Amino acid sequence: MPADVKDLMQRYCAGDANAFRELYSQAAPPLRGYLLRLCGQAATADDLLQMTFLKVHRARGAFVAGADPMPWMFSIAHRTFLDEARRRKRAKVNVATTDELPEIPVHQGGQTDAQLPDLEPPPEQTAAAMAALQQLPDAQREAVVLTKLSGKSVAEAAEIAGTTVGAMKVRAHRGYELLRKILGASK
Amino acid sequence: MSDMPPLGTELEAELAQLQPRSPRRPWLQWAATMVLCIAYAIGMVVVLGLRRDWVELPRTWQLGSAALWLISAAIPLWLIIVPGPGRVLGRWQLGIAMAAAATLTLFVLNVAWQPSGPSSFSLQGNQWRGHGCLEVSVGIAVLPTLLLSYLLRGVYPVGGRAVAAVLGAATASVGGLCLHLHCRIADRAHVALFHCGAVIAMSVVAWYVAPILLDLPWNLRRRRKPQS
Repeated sequence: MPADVKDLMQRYCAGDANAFRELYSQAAPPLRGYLLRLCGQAATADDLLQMTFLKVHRARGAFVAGADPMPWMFSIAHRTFLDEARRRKRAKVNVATTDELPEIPVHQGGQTDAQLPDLEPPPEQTAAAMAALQQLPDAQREAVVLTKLSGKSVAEAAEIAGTTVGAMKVRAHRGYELLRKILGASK
Repeated sequence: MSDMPPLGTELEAELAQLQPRSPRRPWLQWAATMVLCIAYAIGMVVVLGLRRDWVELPRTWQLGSAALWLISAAIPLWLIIVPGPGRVLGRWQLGIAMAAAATLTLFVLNVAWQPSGPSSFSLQGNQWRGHGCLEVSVGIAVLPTLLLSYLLRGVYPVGGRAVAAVLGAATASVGGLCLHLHCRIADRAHVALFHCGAVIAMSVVAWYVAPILLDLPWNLRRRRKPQS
């Protein structure tokens, strides 16, 4: 798959729109899965996915010929998620000055099948783990999602998140410990 | 694929007008950056003037120190502009480590060896009088930092601040090279504190300022186009 993605990215940069569609079909599922685990809401993940690809499209001139585009795309998805999270935090502050209700992510104590279309049919344990994941601080959740759920190496995860390998190890470890504590407490 | 959302209308509209875009050429970018930095340093030395004691100083020290200042700009810039094999993003973690190591090396070497000649100048213990070098070095570094940040905009979706700090350190090293060729103050403490200190000061300035340019494409949310 990586060789194909590289080739598709090259063709897309050369102006082949069909290559972009094929690239989307290959790259979108893992990116959406990553975004879904980060934000916990299918609709938000879909919106972030669209924004990610829009940014990939506009930044294609920054791509390096022959490189694997997937870590780069994950970095852009990561950045898109962070920007959205910051925007939502600001929206929470705005609630006192406007009559509109802000769009606040709400933990619902478990996800339905419709909300997690690209996960395995969720048994109770999976739903509880996903709910617990949403309770982690952003940085720790990213680290757990990247290293434990997306199967990235610590070095790859650090590159995607724009941090050092050491910091990523610490975040992943703390996130994993906190996750275990939350899941232990809920039993 | 079937459960993936379809492409958005904005993206579809942009794809309908897709133009070929040349991928980034990191080696060429780095080479061009270095040529620009050297030309800029030469220009600044012409403007500021070569130090009066230049011919009185040991040739080894003249060339060795100039080479070290240049290397402390070139290697961090290479690490952040040229990615590792098969990668798109530069190695800013290594860039930070190299910039820190280069600054420390210059600090130690300048403290250890600072030759002087009859035309050299001494602050005679009042080191604060030489603080202008810090400001000049930072001032020299501002323009290339902003220019490079603009040229590299959109290259780093993550790690923008760290990249900015490395850019600041590298361009301040170019400023340090200019001061090496211009400033005739031969006090060890002056060179170590103000010439090398400018690298740290410019890193901090760039950390706060340069991401505004580096992150330009990532901060733009939606491009508004008039409907025809």
